[in-house]
Amino acid sequence: MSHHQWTQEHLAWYINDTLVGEEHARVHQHLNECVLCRQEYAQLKCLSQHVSLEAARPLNSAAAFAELQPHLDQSSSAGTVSGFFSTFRQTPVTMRYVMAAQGAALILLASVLFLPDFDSNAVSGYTTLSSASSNHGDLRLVFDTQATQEQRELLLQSYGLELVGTVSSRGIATVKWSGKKRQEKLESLRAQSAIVLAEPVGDVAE
Amino acid sequence: MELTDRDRRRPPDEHERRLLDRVVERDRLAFEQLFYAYHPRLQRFVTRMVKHAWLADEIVNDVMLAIWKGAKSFAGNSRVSTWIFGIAYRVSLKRLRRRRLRAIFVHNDIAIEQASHDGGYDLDEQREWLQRGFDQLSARQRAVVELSYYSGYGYAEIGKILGCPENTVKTRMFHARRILKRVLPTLEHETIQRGRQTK
Repeated sequence: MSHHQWTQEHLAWYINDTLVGEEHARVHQHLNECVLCRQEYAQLKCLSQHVSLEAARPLNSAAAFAELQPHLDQSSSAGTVSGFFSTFRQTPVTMRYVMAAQGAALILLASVLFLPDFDSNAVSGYTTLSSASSNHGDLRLVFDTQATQEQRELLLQSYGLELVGTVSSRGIATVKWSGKKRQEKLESLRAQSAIVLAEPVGDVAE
Repeated sequence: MELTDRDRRRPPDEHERRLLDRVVERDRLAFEQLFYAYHPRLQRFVTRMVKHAWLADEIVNDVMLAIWKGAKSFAGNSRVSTWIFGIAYRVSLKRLRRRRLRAIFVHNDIAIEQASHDGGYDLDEQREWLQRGFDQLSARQRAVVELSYYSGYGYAEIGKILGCPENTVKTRMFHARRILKRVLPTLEHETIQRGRQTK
């Protein structure tokens, strides 16, 4: 960068007396040599004087302070919350995302657990073939897909089994399982070609 | 670091640091002293940046409140005044951005405010052409000119206040000077002519 350009860049601060040492001397020396920079200096000096001497708007600092005072009290009492947000703002961006994600997860969990409509029994009421949700003492049967409705009913009648609910479209049924010689009955049922699976639900004492 | 003439004329920073320490301890009296020391300077700087006196009033109050709440966040690696002017600069820019967005939807807003601003207090000729010259600059350029010519900061300190490199400060000043040079003589001539016609 040429002396001329460098001086042009620093003139404003030469005028306001904030250049020191070598920088100040460099501008000073160039001004002695360059007519253009001297003209620029004169214009800037004039502008600087205009700006600094410009009449200030009449101010009422006392009124402004009085207006501020109630807010000072508020800010003292709300220090904890504002302190949290202030700390949050000073946290690095990546950490803020992590904190926000954790917060969102906590809110989601809390909303699931504490929602008034949430019924934990409703979840446990959902049954699958392997679930032990039926009353103890029931027997779960899976009929062969080839077995007709008639064959199923006949089989249940011959073993004296009472249906709990209905037979599902996939041939799954739950029957009451009580009485004597249940183990023998169970083995006999399992031997039937129309039965794919026969399994007591829960612990059934003989 | 070498002291400039300007530095020697400035009040020592230690006094303001002590005041700020007391503000951290919630000392109202210390805050009041700081408020009276900075209110006129901030008012002028912010008015120059945002161009509307009523908006500047709001911003200066926000800045002073931020100092009251956040005095303990002053790291001590700059002058207290640099820290305070930095807050004022950032709050002003934020408010200007918000206003610019709102102005897209409310066209008349700015015209009405300008009218109330003009009628709010008397402007002498010098002030008028200077203000109109400054209106041609961006808020960031106005900040650099004001901090240099009125507040008397060096480019390094202005860089700290504005949170930008020193070279950016120099570039902004360079462009601001070019615009002001182009605009001010014309405006000055116009104003004087208008003054003669009204007499």
